[in-house]
This record gives sequence, C-alpha cells and structure tokens, in this order.
Amino acid sequence: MEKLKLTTAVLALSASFLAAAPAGAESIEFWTQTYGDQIKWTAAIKELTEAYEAETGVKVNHEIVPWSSSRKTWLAVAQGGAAPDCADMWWLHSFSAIGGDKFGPMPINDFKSKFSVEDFYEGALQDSTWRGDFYGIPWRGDIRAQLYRTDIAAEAGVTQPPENWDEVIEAARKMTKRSDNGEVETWGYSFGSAAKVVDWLMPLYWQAGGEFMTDDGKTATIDNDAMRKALTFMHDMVNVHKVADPDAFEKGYKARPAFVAGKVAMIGSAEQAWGNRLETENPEVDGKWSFSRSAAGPANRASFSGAGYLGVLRGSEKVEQCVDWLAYLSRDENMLKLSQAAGTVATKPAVMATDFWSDRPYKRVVAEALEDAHTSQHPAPAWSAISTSEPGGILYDMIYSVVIEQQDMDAAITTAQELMQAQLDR
Amino acid sequence: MASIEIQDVRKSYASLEVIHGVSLDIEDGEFVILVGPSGCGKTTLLRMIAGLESISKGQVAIDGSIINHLPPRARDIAMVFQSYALYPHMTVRKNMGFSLKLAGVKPREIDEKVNVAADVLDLSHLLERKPGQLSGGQRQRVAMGRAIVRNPKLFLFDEPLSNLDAKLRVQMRSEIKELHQRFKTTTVYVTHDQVEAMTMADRIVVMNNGHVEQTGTPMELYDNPLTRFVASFIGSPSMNMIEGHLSEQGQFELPAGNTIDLSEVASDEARGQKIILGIRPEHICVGGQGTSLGNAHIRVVEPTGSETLLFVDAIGQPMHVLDRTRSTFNAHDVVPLFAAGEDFHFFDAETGGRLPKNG
Amino acid sequence: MNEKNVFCYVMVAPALLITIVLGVYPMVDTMLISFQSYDLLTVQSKGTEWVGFDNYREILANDKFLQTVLQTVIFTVLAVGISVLMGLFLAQVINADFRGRSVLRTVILSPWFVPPVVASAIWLWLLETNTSPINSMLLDAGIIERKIRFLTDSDTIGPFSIPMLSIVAVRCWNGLPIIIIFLLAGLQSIPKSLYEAAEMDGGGVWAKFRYVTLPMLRPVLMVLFALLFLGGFGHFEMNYIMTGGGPRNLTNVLAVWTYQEGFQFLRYGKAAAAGGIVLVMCSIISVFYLWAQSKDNRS
Repeated sequence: MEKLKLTTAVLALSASFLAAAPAGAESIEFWTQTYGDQIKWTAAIKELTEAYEAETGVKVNHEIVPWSSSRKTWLAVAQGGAAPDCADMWWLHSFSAIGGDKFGPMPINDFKSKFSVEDFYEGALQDSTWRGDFYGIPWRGDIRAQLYRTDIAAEAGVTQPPENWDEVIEAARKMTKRSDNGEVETWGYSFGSAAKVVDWLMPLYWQAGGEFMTDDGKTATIDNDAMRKALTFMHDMVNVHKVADPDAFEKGYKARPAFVAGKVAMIGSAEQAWGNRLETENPEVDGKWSFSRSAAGPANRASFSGAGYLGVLRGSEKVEQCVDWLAYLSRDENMLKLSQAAGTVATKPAVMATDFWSDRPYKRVVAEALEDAHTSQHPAPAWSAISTSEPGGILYDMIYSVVIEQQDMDAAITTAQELMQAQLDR
Repeated sequence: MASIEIQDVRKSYASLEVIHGVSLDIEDGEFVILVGPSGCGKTTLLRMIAGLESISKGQVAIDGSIINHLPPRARDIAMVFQSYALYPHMTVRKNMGFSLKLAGVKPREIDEKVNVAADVLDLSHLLERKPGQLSGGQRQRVAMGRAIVRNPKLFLFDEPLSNLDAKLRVQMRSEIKELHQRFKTTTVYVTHDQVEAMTMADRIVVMNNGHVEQTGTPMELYDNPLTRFVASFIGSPSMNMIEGHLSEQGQFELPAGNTIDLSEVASDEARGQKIILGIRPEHICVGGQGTSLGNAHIRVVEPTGSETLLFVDAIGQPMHVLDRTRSTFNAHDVVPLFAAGEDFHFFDAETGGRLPKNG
Repeated sequence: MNEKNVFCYVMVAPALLITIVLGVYPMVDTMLISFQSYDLLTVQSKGTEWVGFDNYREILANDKFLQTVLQTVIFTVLAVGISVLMGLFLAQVINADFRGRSVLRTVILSPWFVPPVVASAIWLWLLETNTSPINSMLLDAGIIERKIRFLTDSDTIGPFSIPMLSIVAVRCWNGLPIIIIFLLAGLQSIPKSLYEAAEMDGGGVWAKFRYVTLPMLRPVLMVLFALLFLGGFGHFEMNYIMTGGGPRNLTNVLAVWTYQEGFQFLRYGKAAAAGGIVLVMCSIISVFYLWAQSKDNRS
C-alpha cells in the first residue's frame, strides 16, 4: 500500500512537470541586452510584446541578458548552452564560427523576403550578414563622433569644431591646461571613452585610408602607409603634442567623469549614446558640450559604427514564429519605439528622418555622422580575439608598444601583421 | 638570599579591596608558608611579591630596597607555578636553562648549571625530553629545577603540590624541605593544605578574607591560636567548637542543658558572657581524669591503625575524639569523656578572638 | 555494512556530490583540455586533437607567461608576508585590555565585510591618479610633488613596481581581518602562566614574543600560511578589475592570464595549461605543508 502511494505521487509529480513545460505551443523565448534605463527598456519591450500578442495571439517571453555577462552568455550559447528562440545579438561572425553548424546564430535566407531589406542602411546590413548568408535585421546603431566641451573651447579661443587632423591637434593644444608644477589639469584630447584602445585606432586607420583585412576575411592588410599615419597621429598626440593622457591606455580609465569634470576637453570617438546620458544624468554640463562629425583624416572622415541585430538561434523549433515577430519589430513605427527606448540610432533612414531624431542639435549631428559610418565588424571569426583591448591582444600590443613604450613602429607593425595573419589562418 | 619586608600592603580591583593592610617581615633564609582557605588572598599576595600583580597601597622591600615598581624580571625572584608553566616546545634542558640564556650567560656555563640542578633533582636522564613526555611529578621537579638554576634571592611557590596524588605529595614535601635546607634560600610558599604548612614551614602566616589572622611557628599556632579561625584551621581533625554561656561562677552552660565545670580554668575576663569553648579531638580522653565532659554516645568509629577517630554525640552536640590508646570501640557504645583543663581554648563568641585563661 | 555506516554515507553524500561535480570534475576536465589543441574558433571544424605537452611547452617558452608566474609568486609572498606580520601585531593589540577596545576591533575587522570585488571597485576609485583623495592629501601636506600614479606607473625596481605594491596593499587590507581572527584564536589559547613564567625568567616583550607566542602559534601559523598561499596563487579579482594585468604586464597573475587566454583569445588549450601550472604550484605548497605536519607528529 505504501509503495503504491509513493509510486502514484511520483507519477503525478512528473506528469505535472511535463504538463507545465510547453505552456503554449504559441510562445517564443526572446532575449535582449539592456539599453539606457533598464526599467524603461523592459517596459518598452513589454508594450511591443503585448501589442504583438493582441494582434497574433503569439506570446513572446522577454528576458534580459545583462551586459556584464553578455559575452559569456553568447559564448555559452555558441557552445551548446541554453539558448532562446530569437534574440538581440552582436558579433555575428565570431559566434557563428564558434558554433559551427550546430549552435549559435541561424541563417534565415529562406525568410529574407519577409523583411524589406532595401529600407535599411546598407552599412547596417553588413552586421547581420556573413559569408553571404542572411541572419536577421540590424536594429540599433552605435555611431561614434567627436564630442567636445564648448565652454573650454570658447575659453581657449577655439571657435569651430576641428574638421581634420591638423585642426584637431591645434584645438587640443589650445585647450590643454597645465598647473604651475607641470601637472596637467585639463587634457585637450582623449581618443575615446572607455579604455577600448583598439576602438580608438580603428576610425583613425580608416580615416587614413586603411582596411584591416580583405573582404573574404582571409588576409590581414595592416602593414601599410595608412597604419603608419594613424599610429604616428596617436603617438604624437601623447608624446609630442602632449595633449592626450598616457594613463588612458591602462585599464580602469573612464572618460566620462573626466569629461564632465572638465579634465578632458575633447573626445575623438565618443558613442552617440552619451548624448542621451549626458542629458539625463549630468545636467550640470547642460549647454556646455556638443557633438560634431569626426574630423577627417588624410583619406576620409570614417566614424566607428557598431550594430546589433535581431536574429534566430539554431536549435529553435519556432523559426517561423520568430521570423514573424522580427518582421513585426522591423516595421518603421516599432523600430522608432526601440530607438527611442534605447537611445540608439536606428538602422532605417525613414526612422532617422522622424522628429525624434531631429529635435536636438546633437541628434542632428549624429544623423549626419551616419553618413560616415564604417562598420566595426569584420568578416573573420578571429576578429574578436584580434581586436580585444586587453594586454596580449595583437592590435592592443601594437598600439601600446608604439604609443606608450615608444618602440620601433615598423617592427611593431610587421609583428602585428604576422600575428594577425596567423590568427586569420586559424 | 634576602629578607623581605611587607608593609601595610593593600590590593584593590577597581573599588573592591581584596587585601586589607597586610604587614609581614620575613628573615633571610626563612621558609614561610602562606596558608588559608580559597579566596583568602594568599596567592594574590604572593603574586604581588613576584611582581605579577600591582601593589595598590603599601610597600614591599627586599633587603631594604623597595621593589614596588620593579618589573618581575628585575626582582631576582624565581617562581614555581601551580601548573608548572613549562615551555611545551622546549626540552627539559632548555626549559631549565632559559632564564640563563636570556641573561646572556655562555652556553657552556648554562650546561654546567643545568647539569648540577638536574643532578640534585634526579632529572639527568630526562634532560632531552619535552614536558609532554613527562609525568606530573617529573614536571614538578623540572619547574623547581628551572627555579634553582637561577640561584635567585627568593623562591616563590604557588601551590606546587596540589596537582599531585597523595603519595607523591608526601614525597615531594620532604624533598622540597631538603632542598631548602641545602640551599637556604628565602622561600615564600602558598598552600591551602594546613598539613603541608605544618610540616614544612619555619613560620606560618594564616590568612583569611584578605588579612592576616596570625603569624607564628607551627607549634605556636597549634598551641596558642589567637582566633577561632586559626584554631579550627590548624590541626587535623579540627578543633571541636562548643557554644555556650560562661557564668560568673565559671560554669559553662550549653544550650542543651549540660554544664561543664570550668571554674579552675576560666579567667575573670572570660566569665559572664557568651563564649566559644575549643578542645582538640586529640586532647579528649575516654575515661581517665580531668574535667568531665559527660557521657558520649559513639556514632561512628574510624580506626586508622595508629589512632582511632570517633564521631560522638556529647554534651548535646556532635564532636570528634581522637583516641591513641588503641582501645576497641563500637558504635552505640556510651563512654565517659574527660579533658585536661589547660587544653581548653576560650574564644569570644562575637569577635572570635582569644580570651585569656588561667594557669 | 551496518545501519550506522549507511546513515553516515547518506549524510556525507550531498556534500561529496557537490565537491565532485563542482570541484573534481571541472579540474579533471581542465587537465584533459590542457593536453589538447583546443581553439574555440576551430573546435567545430578542426576538433580537438591530443598534443601532449605542447601547450605547456609553448606557454613556458613565452616570456610574458614566465613573468606572470614570477609575479604571481611575488604578489602572494608579499601579500601573505605583510598581512601575517601586521596581523600578529594587531592581534596582540586587540587581545590586550584597554578602553575603546571594541571600537578598535570593529574598525580593524570591517574590511572583512567587503567582498574582494567591491574592495577592488572602491580602491580603484581611491587610487585613480587624478581623482584620488590620497594624492590630494599628500600633495596638500607637501609630502609629494607630483601625483602618484598608483595603478599606472610603469617604472620598476627589479620585479617590483608601484601598481604591484598598490594591489598588494589592497589585498592586505582585505585579507587582514581573517588573519587576525585566526591569530587571535591562537593567541587566546596560550596559557597566561607561560607568559608569567617567561616574565619571571627575565624575558621582556621581544623574548616573550619569540619564545612563547611564536612557538605556541606555530600550528595556527602553518595552517594559515598554507591556506593563504593556496588561495593567493589563484587570486583573480583585484588584479583583473584594478589593472587588468597592466601596465606592461607588471601586475599580471596566473588567474588573470588564464582568464584572458581563455575568454578573450579563445585559446582554451593554453588557458588550461596555465591552470595546470597553478595546480603544480599549489601541490608543492601542499606537499610541503604535509611534510611539516608529519615532522611535527613524529617528534
């Protein structure tokens, strides 16, 4: 009798678990990172999922992946870990390579027609395409442009934002302030925001006319004149003109507090999301800052641009439902909502032309800067390892040895080219 | 070798005074024992001499120099602790030689002195062992050896035998006494055991509740205790104490109604008041002559070979009688008791102080 | 197997299971990876072939790695040495009786409640060259003329540098309380009479420390050293958060190197080999500790 009772209990319990599992055949798991204020972001997504459910009856379960564990999460997904049906993703190339045919991002060429891809910026589409396959739609941009303190500039007699490298040098020299004992009170120039040193080099290199690799992602192309020009520029800003803080190249450097405190006057490549943040979190510098388009190098004025895209994961059994959900999100009005909630630039010209993106001066600048966008993604899976801004990273070491250690530039570049090629051959 | 002068020494912990004005002079080479019940202050006094407790008021001087403010290591005193306090990680040799090593004595000399002391205490075969490998008695001797090696002015012993079994205790008593006779170092020794005090001391200091009850040689304390406390503390089995009223005629009236005729012994001062009469068990005889104590009803008989201890009911209260005649006694026997007049002690019922007696 | 034994095994089973699953299995798996060529980017296409000791040979031939190993040892020795010394002193201080003792105890023990990650964040802010209050105080007091670049100064004297010393200081700050607790417990188990005996034998403060305190603390100190060294070799948070191993690799330690190798450069095989090196180092400490213990037991 006891045994019977026990067995019945166990069976009932297992049955309840199984019953609970697929709550509805019509529900999909959707993960995103957070953008701006987490609560506002979650609310915005909720609005969209509820509207979608009302329209189609399909429930979308939204989960947040915090940025602090985002990389690890997608790394795990690419190696077979728990994955959602669809998500807001990045670094398509690396994670696809790691996951191979079994895990990670899933190409959805068959469903390409459901999205009106011609309405998107072409540059943005690069971020959701790999080896010719279509993986989803880009939804946010991260465009970086020049940011400077208008009050410090005015004080120093700088009347216009610098338009090219020479003007940058001149403006930075004027805006650098030193105290009596030689300690720097205000640095005239900072290459970028957080200590992602390689991100600083990239736009400068492109502006000098260089590209990091061939389109097929198999050959490294960094040993050239453009690289020398870019590295010289960085080196001189720190050691010759002495307008940039060498300590910025070490971990822990945070440009924003320094910028707000007036200890840094100009940032060469600042994320456009700063616009939103400075407005909401630092009212004390209201009216004292301004964005401008990236200064032009010898060849062009390319601006660093990253993008995130919405795509489907391998292993999902709800591909069609996901595609429908993503197509819904790609409508202009929904893309605008996402852009507003996240504070990031949209990937469709139609959205960038709305009022939302022209009601502030900095937003107008940002929209203009989109013209100069150059994607930071590269078609090689090893790119993430090559471009990591940690000591030991190939490009990081090259920059560090030239700018901080002031070693022979040619040797550093040659070494980096060899190492990078070895990585691309992986 | 040194003499010690303790003048009106007091000790307080916060506002609580525990030692109330103790004065004592110890002569060079004397073996003085501080004895008393737990909590009487004897160990505190010893530690004040050692320097391990501060002296709240009063002075302690050695050979005339006041040492109140000297730290222990500057007083040239060696102490044997109740727990021996041997350094567990050092060999016996190193334990004994430690103080010399700290004093900077040369290793060869240290070895010589240690060997000599070890010889005296029969420790030579144990020198390379650690305290953990020794028995209680052996550890006790090492502790003494550590003190001897230093050849100090003064030895202090803090209940060194209380952790040993009875037989070992008896043996160590005579060994310590022998050592004292040999080295003649001034010694202050603390114990709660009055037998140790009686057998070992040149002079005994009986302490109670932080003050000195009486100082004197063992026989002085035995024959002429100055207070009721000393009378019952010294001597084993302890003195019988009988409460009652001594009339003007010298009749001692007990509450139960019995009377003892003390007219020939009691002094005038003692009469006409409530007193406590003391008589030692060994001074009571079964049968014989002297002052009658009435008939006693024997309750328990305890023969120990050389003498017999009787628990009796006499003159209305329980008493002890120590019989050395080797007679046979049985429980429930009724026997007459007598005592010699000069063996009685008179104490004031209120103060406990001694009252004089005639003759 | 009687009932009592079965009960004991059942009680121990959960803990054993957790240890095996979370501790032993990952360790064994990592060791296996260290003998394979395991490049995350090519795992799907090329697989993981067995390469024996190749990974080890490669990392041991790398100057930067060797520097990292040396620094791991130096960091740990410095942090453990300094904090135990300070701990010995401070434990005696809180053991003594004086007014205001409880306040002092709270102050000394408070760093314990700060997890290493939080400590790193706090000190990262406190030591940032331009905004550091320490720099301002020292400058105002006229003790220094130029700001100290606590975490970014790359001048070195031998293998030592200011960032290294800064991080050692933070490690000491964070680890001191537990050392003090250990030592305090040890100190309080030393019978007072031993100190009195030493006092009577003529010992001053230093003699009492050297001949009574230290020998009696030996068992506690041995356990403490073993634990601290084993933990110290694997320390990760402070070096990673405060300097990421820089500047110029001066504050790199094995745990940080392994992390970067595995998760930034995606070369699991080499990262696992570095883990193997840490295992060897910890084994040396453990063997030494066990040997010292058995020596004690024998004597």
